[in-house]
Amino acid sequence: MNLQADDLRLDLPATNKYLNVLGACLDAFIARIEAVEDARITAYNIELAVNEIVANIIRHAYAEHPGGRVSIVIRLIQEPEPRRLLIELSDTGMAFDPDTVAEPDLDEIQIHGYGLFLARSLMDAVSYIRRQDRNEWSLTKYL
Amino acid sequence: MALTTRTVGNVTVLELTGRFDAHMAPALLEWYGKLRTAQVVVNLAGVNFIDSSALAALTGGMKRCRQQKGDLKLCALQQPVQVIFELTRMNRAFEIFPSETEAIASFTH
Repeated sequence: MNLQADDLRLDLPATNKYLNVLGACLDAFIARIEAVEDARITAYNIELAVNEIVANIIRHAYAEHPGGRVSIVIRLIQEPEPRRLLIELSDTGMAFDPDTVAEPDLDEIQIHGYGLFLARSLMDAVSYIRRQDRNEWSLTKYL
Repeated sequence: MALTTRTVGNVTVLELTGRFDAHMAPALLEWYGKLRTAQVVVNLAGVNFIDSSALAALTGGMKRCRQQKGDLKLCALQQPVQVIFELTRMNRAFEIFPSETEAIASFTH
């Protein structure tokens, strides 16, 4: 992703220890956006969605090769409308196969397997592509 | 995240504060290892973030307590953290109370 003037780029160690740093950065970035409806809830939901994707990267993509990194770019797109927040994440871990992820059975008490479901539920768009030995995630939320 | 434990009658009350995420979830699993009762109230009034790993830790504790004929109940959830319970429908699996007093009292009713 070619950076633009107001983009925020983070490069975090792929460890759960720094999920709080990512959350704080997202919160602070969204706090500077004017006229966000239900700002507190919107910021929280975006933070949760991104947290779930990064936690999945740490747990699955880097399962066999810990010590990797996660690169994150946060961008507010004003034009063309609608205004939206775009969060792009990339890592060099193992490839992800979306077909292997079952939707959680919401009628059962399930302990794991909610991460991607939550991200998709909380964002307006979530996409994944494997490109040149990198996993690339794109999360979009209309604001 | 901080964990504070109190005992009220036969109920163990665990008060959590701060951010409850994948990094902190193991602390709760460790806490279960020291638990000697199966009647637990987790007070989430001071928790400002819960992710699916934290939810998994709570759910595991709830299952463990129910296997021992007890329960793990939740109380005082802040509004934003309720979203994860609603989307996963775990708000139906857990008994959730507005206050700690009500959660504790529910064990005697």
